[in-house]
Amino acid sequence: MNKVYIQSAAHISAQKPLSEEWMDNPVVYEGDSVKSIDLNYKEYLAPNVARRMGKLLKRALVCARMAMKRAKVEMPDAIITATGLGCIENTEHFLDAMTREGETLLNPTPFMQSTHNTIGSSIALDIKCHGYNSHYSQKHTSFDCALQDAFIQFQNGKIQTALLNAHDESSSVFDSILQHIDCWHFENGGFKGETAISMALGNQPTPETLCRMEDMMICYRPTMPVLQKELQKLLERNGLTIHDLDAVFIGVNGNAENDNVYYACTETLFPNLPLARYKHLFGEHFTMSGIGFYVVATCLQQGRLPEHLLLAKENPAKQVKCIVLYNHSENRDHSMILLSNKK
Amino acid sequence: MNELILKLKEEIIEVLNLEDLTPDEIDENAPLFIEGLGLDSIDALELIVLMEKNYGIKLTDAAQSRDIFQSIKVMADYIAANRTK
Repeated sequence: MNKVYIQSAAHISAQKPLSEEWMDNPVVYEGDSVKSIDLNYKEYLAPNVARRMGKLLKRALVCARMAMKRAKVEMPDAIITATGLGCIENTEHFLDAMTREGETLLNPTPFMQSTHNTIGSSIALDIKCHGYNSHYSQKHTSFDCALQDAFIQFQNGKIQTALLNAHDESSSVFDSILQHIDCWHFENGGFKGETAISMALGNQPTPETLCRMEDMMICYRPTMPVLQKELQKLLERNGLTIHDLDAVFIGVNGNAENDNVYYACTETLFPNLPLARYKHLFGEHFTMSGIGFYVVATCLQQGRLPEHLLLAKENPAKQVKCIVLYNHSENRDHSMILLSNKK
Repeated sequence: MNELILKLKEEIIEVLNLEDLTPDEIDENAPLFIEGLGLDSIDALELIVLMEKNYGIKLTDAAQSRDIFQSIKVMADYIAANRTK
């Protein structure tokens, strides 16, 4: 089986942008909605490039450029993007203008940016990439689907490099709709965040490589026996047992309904393994599991699991070598992504 | 006319998000497209919307639009002669 290497990553999020400072000095938040810490984009993007772009596109372009620069990749074979809502701020702007003024006199720029695939196409235009370009917009499973696409492309030998992106933004209308429909309640320090991350993937290790993605699986409405069987198959086809795992990262976010599924499943699937989290630092949004993937990759690169990521008091292995990132969405879509520090 | 040219410059800066420019920095006689401000076809659509929304001028003929969007001065002259609001 071909392996996939995570060569680099660049994020703009609730933590210090384009930095791994969160590993040792995370920014801690109170409140239930947090915006990303934006850069001064004038330092990164020419005025004529950026002038039509909303904040999400600016973040996406800067992350993409930085991930490619860090990986020393000039042109990826594929651009694969996960986004739950796309450039929602422009979509709202466009729809608001339509309700105010009817279907005439609509400004073209918000309309052009209101489609989900604006993100990947803008990155492609920016770097003049004519390769495979695809988007996944399936709410909380968007990133898992995008990653699976990239993984399959690598398995089939169709690509040797890829730029994998996960992007979502918040807006005042989106916030008020969530509140109106009584959705996304967080307690215990959980909050709604924003996602902007790009990662360069490749089929060969390089000096820049963060870690290796071994394999993944996605299940729809699995029963516990099915999940156990799928985990077993995942480990077996990679020559591993449960004892080779050093930790499991889960997407607990302070929402009891969401978190209880994680606790119930991990108790059976991964007994005695240290559990770690990431959403308490980055918040919740549809594509936040992309940030989880980056967090795991960073821990494997550095060979350590900072204490503030651990959910319980167990002592994880002194050097983490193999980690599972476990995601679920409404206890319907479950995924497990297996990563290791092998090169 | 000078007042209209200044207003038009401010509107163009806002609608085209030319946030690095001030009205003083825009030459009203310079070409709007390719040279001068270096605008493109999407900007042309934005200007068509601006003309109708702010001045009640509906431009439907592409060739006519090309003539009107030569420069801010030409635009201002056309608006002064044809505006309905």
